[in-house]
Amino acid sequence: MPDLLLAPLALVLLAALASLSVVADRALVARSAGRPLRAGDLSPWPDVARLLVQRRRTTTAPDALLWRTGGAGLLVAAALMMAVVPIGDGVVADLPVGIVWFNAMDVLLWAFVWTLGWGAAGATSLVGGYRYLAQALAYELPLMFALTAPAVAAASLDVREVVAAQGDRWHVVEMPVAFGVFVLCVAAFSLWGPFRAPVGDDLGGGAFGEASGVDRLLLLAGRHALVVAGAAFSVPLFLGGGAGPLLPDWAWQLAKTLAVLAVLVVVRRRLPVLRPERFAEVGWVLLVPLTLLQVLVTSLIVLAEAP
Amino acid sequence: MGLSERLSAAAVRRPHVLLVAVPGQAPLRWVAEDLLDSRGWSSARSPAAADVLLCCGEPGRGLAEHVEVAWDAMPGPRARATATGAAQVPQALDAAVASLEDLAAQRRDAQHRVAPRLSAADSGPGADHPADADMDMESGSGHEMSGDMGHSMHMDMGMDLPGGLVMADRMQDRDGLRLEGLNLSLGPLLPSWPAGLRLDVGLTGDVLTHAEVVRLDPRPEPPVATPERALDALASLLEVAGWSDGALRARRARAEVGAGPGSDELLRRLRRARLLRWSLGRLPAPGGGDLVGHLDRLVACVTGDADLPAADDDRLARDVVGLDLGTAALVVAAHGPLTREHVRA
Repeated sequence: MPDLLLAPLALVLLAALASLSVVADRALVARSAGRPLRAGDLSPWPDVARLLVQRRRTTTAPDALLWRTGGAGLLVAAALMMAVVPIGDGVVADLPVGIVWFNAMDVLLWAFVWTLGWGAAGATSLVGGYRYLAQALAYELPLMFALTAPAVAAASLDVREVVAAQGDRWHVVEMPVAFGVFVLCVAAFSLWGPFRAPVGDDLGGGAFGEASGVDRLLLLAGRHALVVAGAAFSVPLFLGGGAGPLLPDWAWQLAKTLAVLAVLVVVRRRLPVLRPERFAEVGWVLLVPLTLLQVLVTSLIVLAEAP
Repeated sequence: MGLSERLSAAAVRRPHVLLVAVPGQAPLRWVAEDLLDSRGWSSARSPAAADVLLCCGEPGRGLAEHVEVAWDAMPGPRARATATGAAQVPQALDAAVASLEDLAAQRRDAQHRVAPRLSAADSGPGADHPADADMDMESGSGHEMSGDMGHSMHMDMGMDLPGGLVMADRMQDRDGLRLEGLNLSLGPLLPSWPAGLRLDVGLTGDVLTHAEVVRLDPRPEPPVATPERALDALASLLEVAGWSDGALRARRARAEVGAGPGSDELLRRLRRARLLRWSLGRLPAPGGGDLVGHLDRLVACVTGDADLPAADDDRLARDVVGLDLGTAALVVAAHGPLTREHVRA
């Protein structure tokens, strides 16, 4: 099948899994609140309808172009990340540098969240945008090193070659640190759970604070889509892609993606927000050396196993 | 049923409600919060995200000004209500939601809305008001905040910037640099923020250079048992600290009136919440010490082993100077429910 035909499928998958993450999240909230689980309570549809009906608002002297660009950017970046995730035997964009592509999309988010905060031209919104940059300074290097490890092991930046290089021994076995850091960083670039300080309550919504209506819908959908895309990308990189007994490739890919997604959804409300200035210490003092060590260990394994 | 009716029927099934905490009416706010939790509705974090504005008590004159500003900043469809007694909260909320569904009325409302005012008093960093939604620190455009700020550093350079904004002045920052400074009012309509508290601050970048606590329409809170007040304090602190699950559990325990299985589970989690403690470390707390110690003290209050610390506004104003905007909000949240109790009218 021509890989381009996979594009609509990738988008449908992204939307379906993002909706599923909303449902799971609502179920967890209902449990914490001690409410019975009802279908109407879990459905994301009322929230979507609400934001579709709600009017868009503007602020005094916003930088409308940057504001709206940043607002749509989250969803676009998530879709572009999905382009390099193998689906079944195919992949939407079979890039020889798929890993770098993913990394580039995540760096693009720096610009999107920042222009979002800047464009609204509000004090807390702008502080939220800057917070994202501060947070990104802490997680971006560990993320890059975490992405380097599987690439080193496979001697390729092509996602499908990384899958092929794993065979029966998944990368997560020899690079658990890289896997852990990667999942952490997915939460971080998605403004998810403990990393939502840039859009936090202490700033009255921060970079998202001024958006309403369809603008807010794009932001919230974008956030869920980013988490899904990150979870989906961890599968070919660390969890052997479609490898597994009995079931076809796509089923294993889906099952593994759902497993990583489930972890991210559970973590979302259970952990407090990490203040960016404190997380910066962790990023630089702990995560950077740890991921560097991980790359070293991976390289040694590659050398030891070289014919 | 046409598409727009169907859409709007679905849209009101889970409205987001901006709760206005009125000084002296904390129990009313609790009723409203519990109602939202039990229905699975959200409390809005900013006017931009709100469909319904619910005043928990009749706001006094000072607070009412801020409520009007927030009302102006709500996107619409929008509705507002005031509940003056616990029994009225569900009715007020239901009536407001019903008027959200009245398409004709909402259209009329939208047509009659005026362009954003620029001169009104400001309310909160959630940028509830167009006039405060405009500061642009880097390029140096700020604007004059509410006129009642005696220490406004604003200087009119006679230069017109977009939207009628004016140039920012410069202020000394904590590292001895001169940076562009902004005067900003935080609160009182912020999530988990003390009722009627406004913090007038000077900002260089996102760091507070000076702060002044203003109490709008101060009134003493009715007497409530210590465990409930401590659980309320925990709920506010945890919400702003971004632990929504913990905050939800604290509110549930509060509704169950103090000690019980719900609060035991919460306290057990709080005692071993290492990440929370690490994140709250090194921040000033009411009555001295840091927020981690404060957290422990609140936990002890719930079990009846301690009494709530008294907090004072002068200390709060001193404590937040040098912190960044978000961290300051966290420190204020920790002071909030206590100061509400110790207001000197």
